[in-house]
Amino acid sequence: MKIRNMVILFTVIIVGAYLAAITTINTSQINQVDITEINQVTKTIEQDWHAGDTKKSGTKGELAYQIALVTEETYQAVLFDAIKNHQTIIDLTKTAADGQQEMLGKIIFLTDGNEETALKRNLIVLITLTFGLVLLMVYLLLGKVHTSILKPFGVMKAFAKKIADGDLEFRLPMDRGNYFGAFTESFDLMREELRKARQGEYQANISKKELVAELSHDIKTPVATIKAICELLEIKLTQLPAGDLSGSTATTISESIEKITVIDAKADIIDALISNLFHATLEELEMLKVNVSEQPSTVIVSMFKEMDNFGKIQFKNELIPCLIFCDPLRLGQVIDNVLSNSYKYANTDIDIWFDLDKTNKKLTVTIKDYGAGVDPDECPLVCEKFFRGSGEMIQNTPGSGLGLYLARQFMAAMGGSIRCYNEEGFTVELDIRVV
Amino acid sequence: MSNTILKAEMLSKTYSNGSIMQHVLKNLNIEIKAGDFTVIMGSSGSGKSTLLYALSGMDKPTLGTIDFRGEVISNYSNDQLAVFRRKHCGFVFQQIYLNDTMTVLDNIMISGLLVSRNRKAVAARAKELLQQVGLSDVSYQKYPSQLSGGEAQRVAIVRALINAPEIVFADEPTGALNSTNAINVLDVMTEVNAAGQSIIMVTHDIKTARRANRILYLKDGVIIDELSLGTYCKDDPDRHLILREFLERMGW
Repeated sequence: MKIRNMVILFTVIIVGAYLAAITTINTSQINQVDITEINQVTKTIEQDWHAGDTKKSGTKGELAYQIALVTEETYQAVLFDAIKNHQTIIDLTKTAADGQQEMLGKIIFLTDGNEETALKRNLIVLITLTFGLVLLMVYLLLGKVHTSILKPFGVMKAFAKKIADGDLEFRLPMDRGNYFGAFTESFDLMREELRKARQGEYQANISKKELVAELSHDIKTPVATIKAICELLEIKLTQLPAGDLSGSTATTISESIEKITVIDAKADIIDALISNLFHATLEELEMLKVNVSEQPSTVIVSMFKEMDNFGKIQFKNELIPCLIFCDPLRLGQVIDNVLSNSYKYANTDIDIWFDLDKTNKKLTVTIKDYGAGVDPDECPLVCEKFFRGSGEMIQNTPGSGLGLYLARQFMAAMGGSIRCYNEEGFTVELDIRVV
Repeated sequence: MSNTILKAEMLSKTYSNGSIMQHVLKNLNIEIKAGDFTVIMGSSGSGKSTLLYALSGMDKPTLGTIDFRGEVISNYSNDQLAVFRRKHCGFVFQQIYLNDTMTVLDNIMISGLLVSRNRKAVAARAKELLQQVGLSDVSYQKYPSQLSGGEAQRVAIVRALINAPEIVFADEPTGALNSTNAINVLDVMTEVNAAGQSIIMVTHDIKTARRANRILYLKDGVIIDELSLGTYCKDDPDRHLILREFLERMGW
């Protein structure tokens, strides 16, 4: 209920109670004594007395009465009692023979003197009820204020604390009924925007790191070329037959050799610096998240198909559809890395086998090419960070030595594993956990 | 493995709602032998009914194969599945689904005539089966509304049996019956099974489950354990205890 409605309702109740109290007080007047009736009754009693009916109490009309005679001993006591009870007292007289009025005693009309007490009691009840009602309504109003104003503020306080602590996933519950609906909503919008901004920042950071990693690798290649050319030049220049040259040319050549050595040395420094940079960014890239979920195994086939740019991939057997544990994004990257290695170094057909081991709950994907494979001595190292084969062809192909390293990290995070070995060509086996 | 009639491998059923995927069955393997009375148990939402519907061809699994006597029914089209169900499966449900405007006999005949054109033979078989389940001649011309719940369910069982299916699938057949009627219906099912009929039944009720000779316990879409009970025989207190102990172990 809206507070305005409550106030209106309470006002109505209070006014109602007030009117009821006034009416009650007005209607409960003390009965007034009917003088004419009392006179008539007195006359009747006096006549009766004359006639010799000396009854000392009785009822005439609606009035009960009692007679106290002057001659009685208790006369005073009865009289005082009657006065105390606010009863009506009239003289009982008798006309004597000489025409003189003679006082016989008093007629006491037994009117109800307790009416005032009753009225008092009624008033107390009425006042207690009214105050109780008012108190109750005040409590209700306070309660309402508490739940609809103070509590939402409390929630907002907790919310602000969460936000301050950096928990941007905490949603602010919105209550259309309360006064801060719109207010809360804007708070929640604020949180949403903050979260987006932070996510964007995170993404930007990641891509910046990736860019640095990629760039540093790209820079390494030309630097290596510079170094190679320096060495070549140095050798060529030192091997020039000394006798054929005139003095000035010989000096130029020896100066050139000196310069080339400097270039070579600087290139070495650049190389080392880039390596450091690369390492630093890579450490952070390792924090790439893997979100494992239950996925149909058919996603693997579609990953291969997406990567089959050269039409070289052949499935050698059918994949038995089942549910596997994987992060589709990361598994895609693993497959992508393995396949691009094969494209780069072997460039032959790629055969794929699927093998479902039901008892061990394992799906093995074998990816095999028919290229030269890797040097048997280097085979155990292919999944190491920055490891690149020593072969000439490998060194001349751009690459970072990260593909299989990341593949191994991702597979491990998905509860699987990766194995690489030579067999007719290079073979990679991916073990994926089955649900 | 000639007596295997139904075999499911790596069965998964996924209900997706937008990007949220709910895997109800997960890489489930199951094999049903001819003459088995198999009961599938499990808490609500464990995938019991989904499994029953997938096995019976009423619903298609998302992944996996279902092999029925060498036919892979999981690749069937909806029309092929309908024919398959008509010929090889009988169904008994909690709701009895008898046609109120037809007599008991006609209700059964209409199922029979979907497969066989021989009206006389179908009628004869229907009558024979009705007698077998303990329904008298008088009830043949009655309408379903004139039958008790137990009688109606027995008629439904006859309807399920009319085409001599390889398997009868029952989804909580006694769920809506009082205990006397439930026992009657279960007695009928036990008898039919004793005569060689394979039955797969989903139930929540331990009294119903103890009729089976094989109990599969399903949890989160996977059969986590099974219990072999041997053929049902009446007044075997151990049977109940073994079953109860098994269910308690499963976290029933």
